[in-house]
Amino acid sequence: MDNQPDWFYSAENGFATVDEIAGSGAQIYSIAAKCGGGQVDAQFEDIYTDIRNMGQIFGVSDQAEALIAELQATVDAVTAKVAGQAPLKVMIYDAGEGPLGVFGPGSYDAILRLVGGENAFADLTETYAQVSIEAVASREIDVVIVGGYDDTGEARADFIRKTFPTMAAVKNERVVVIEYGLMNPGVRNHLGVEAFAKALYPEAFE
Amino acid sequence: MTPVSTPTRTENMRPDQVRAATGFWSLQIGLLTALVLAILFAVGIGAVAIPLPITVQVIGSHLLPGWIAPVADPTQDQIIWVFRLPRVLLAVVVGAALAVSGTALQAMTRNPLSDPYIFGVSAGASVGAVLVITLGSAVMGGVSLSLAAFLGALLSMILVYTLAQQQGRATPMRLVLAGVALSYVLSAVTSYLVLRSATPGGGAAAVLTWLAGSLGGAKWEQLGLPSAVVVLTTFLLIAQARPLNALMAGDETATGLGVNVERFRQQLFLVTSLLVGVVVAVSGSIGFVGLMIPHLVRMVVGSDHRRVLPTVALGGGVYLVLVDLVGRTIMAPQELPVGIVTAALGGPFFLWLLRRR
Amino acid sequence: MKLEVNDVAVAIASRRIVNEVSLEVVPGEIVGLIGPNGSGKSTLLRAIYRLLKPAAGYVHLGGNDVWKLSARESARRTGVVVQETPSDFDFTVAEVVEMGRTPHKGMLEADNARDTQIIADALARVRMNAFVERSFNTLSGGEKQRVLVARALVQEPKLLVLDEPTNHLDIRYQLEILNLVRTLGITTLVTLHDLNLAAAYCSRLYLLADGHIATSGAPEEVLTPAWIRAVYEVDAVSAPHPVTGKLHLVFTALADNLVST
Repeated sequence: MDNQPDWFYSAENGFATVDEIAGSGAQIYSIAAKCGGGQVDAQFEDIYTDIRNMGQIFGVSDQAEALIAELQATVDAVTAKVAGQAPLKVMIYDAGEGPLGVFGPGSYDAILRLVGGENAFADLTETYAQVSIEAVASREIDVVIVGGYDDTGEARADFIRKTFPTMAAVKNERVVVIEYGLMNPGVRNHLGVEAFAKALYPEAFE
Repeated sequence: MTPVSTPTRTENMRPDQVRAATGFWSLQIGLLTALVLAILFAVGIGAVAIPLPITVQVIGSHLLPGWIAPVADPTQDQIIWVFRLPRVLLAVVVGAALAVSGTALQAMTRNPLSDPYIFGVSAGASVGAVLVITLGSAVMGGVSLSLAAFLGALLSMILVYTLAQQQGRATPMRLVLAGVALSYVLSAVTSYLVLRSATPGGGAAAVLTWLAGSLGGAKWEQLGLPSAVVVLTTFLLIAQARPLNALMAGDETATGLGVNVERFRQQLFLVTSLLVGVVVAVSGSIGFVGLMIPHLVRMVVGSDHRRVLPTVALGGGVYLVLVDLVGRTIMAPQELPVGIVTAALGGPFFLWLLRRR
Repeated sequence: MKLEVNDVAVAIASRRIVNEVSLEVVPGEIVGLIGPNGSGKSTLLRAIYRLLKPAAGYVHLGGNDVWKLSARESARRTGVVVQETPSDFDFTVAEVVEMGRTPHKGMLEADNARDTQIIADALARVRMNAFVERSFNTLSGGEKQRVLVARALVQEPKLLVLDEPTNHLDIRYQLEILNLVRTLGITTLVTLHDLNLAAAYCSRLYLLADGHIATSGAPEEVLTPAWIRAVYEVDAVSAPHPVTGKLHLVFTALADNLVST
């Protein structure tokens, strides 16, 4: 606040209230697309809403629309390639060797829906939970997406491969590291969609 | 059961002593039975429902490979033999270790509120573990989580003992003070490390789970060392039960009874810190067991360590097996770290104790 | 056994609390150590039962230097009854007394028939046998002292050391405990606050002042008005006790010490 910003771009992390910011004379924009463990019914299109709104705010609507068209084109190409494929059960795994940190319903469902996957842990009551190793072992999991945030991604993927040899995802070599930066809502999300699709249906991209 | 001294030959005992002696042994046998039953119960139940005959067959096929055929489903085999059985056995070992070390430390510091972590051992282990979790094993020279935790514990122990020295003596009071102070400092370090590594989802959750204490990642390889240490330490302490009793009566009394108080205290410190360090390395800092179980046991068998030590070892094992069972089934498929369940039980327990007195 | 303390000095934090102290207790004697607070009585006792190491001099019991013996061997010879802070832990009377067998038992060695007998005898001696299963913390001051004496007895000591055993006790229990000690027949060194009790129960006295032995001898020789005035700064008049006939002292404050009214 000391920097006396003119404008706030907020994911509503709770550092200051709307009134406090308004009181300082700044404008607030609360993004529609929230990060990681956000709303249960997040829509992929929320990103476009934000881009459009940005365009409007900064008076560059044309560029905004162009960007949206570009992103959408990538997404369309991807969804075309995977159309008609049988839905696969996906586990989105963070870290932990017992219990395992796993993303539940609502976290990355938008992307999964686009590429034709289902969350293997759709029955969880939270968007992120520590799940027992037994439960992971006994579930039908076709693909494991390992969230990447540093260089430990492959190590964590190896943990999955070593610990669950009978898992379909491990047997079919479908354990893939994808950076959180691509998965979380933002302008790179189209790349995330692409990465997910390739992980689920690699044959469609050869 | 009325606590009484323990003569051996019944013909020389008073009738009430005979009754009490048999009472003690019945209690041990009862606890041992309870332990075996708890283990069987806990192996049969879990986040994933597996029929009892399958469970028995899995265990049988591993123990008697030529005679009992393995089960058809390899996942069931894995769940019982790779995940559940080592975890239950680890719960026994950790529960016993925490209860035994808590007992020894309460005697050594003459403080009924001492617990295994009073010398900052767990805070040190936490720093080691958190460094590995947040910076990655590679940065830490390829050191595993367990090893880092153990090294942290050792370092903390050495620091506490050195800080508590005054003219070559480390009195219980100074040890406790140094331990508490160091715990605070190291906790702050741990919190700082966790804060620095706030990445979306990753890191922080794993750290918090570890800090809360969990048996979730139990593997067969982890059982060997802690088991050996617990068994050895418990026997060593039982052998020193008389000096332990004397120590509880006071330094002057203990000296008058022939105990070399300073040296004995050093030995106790070493032994219990190693025991706690080894356990914290594999399971994080599970609270309340080391504090509650000795109290509960003393209420039943009295304060004589010849009776208390074997009883807390068995009791601690049974307790943690059952508590861990609750933690991993109550919210299935999610897991509640066992440290949270023990805390949830421990708080009310102490309030109840308060009301009794 | 004979206790010989020769030219002992004891220092705490490099300050000599006790200096150049020599005393002896012959077998069967009850010797009293008296002196005002801060004179070093307890400190001297601690050097004798091996809690504090003397900075100079030696302590011999039965001809052996106490500090050259192992802690256990020393505890087999010396039984100690001291004031101890109350414990939060609960032991029964039987368990407390049984602790006295510690210096005689090896690791993992359980009590045998002889131990049980010794414990029973000791409890009978102090007349606490009815209290065996009572919790020690629930006893009265006098009862606790008797149990502690029983514990010391169970050590089968050749020397009994008591540090202010009559503190905080009602008159009845003060007399009771000292009577008991007298019947034991063990070589005894006891520190006492009450000069009349010292006169009545000890065959010889050592008067400690500022860490030195001021004088020693039979009660009549030590508890003279001159010595009492010098060390305790009070005026004393002695007369035979109307019933026991022993030396008995009556005190008045020194004129200089009185606040003028």
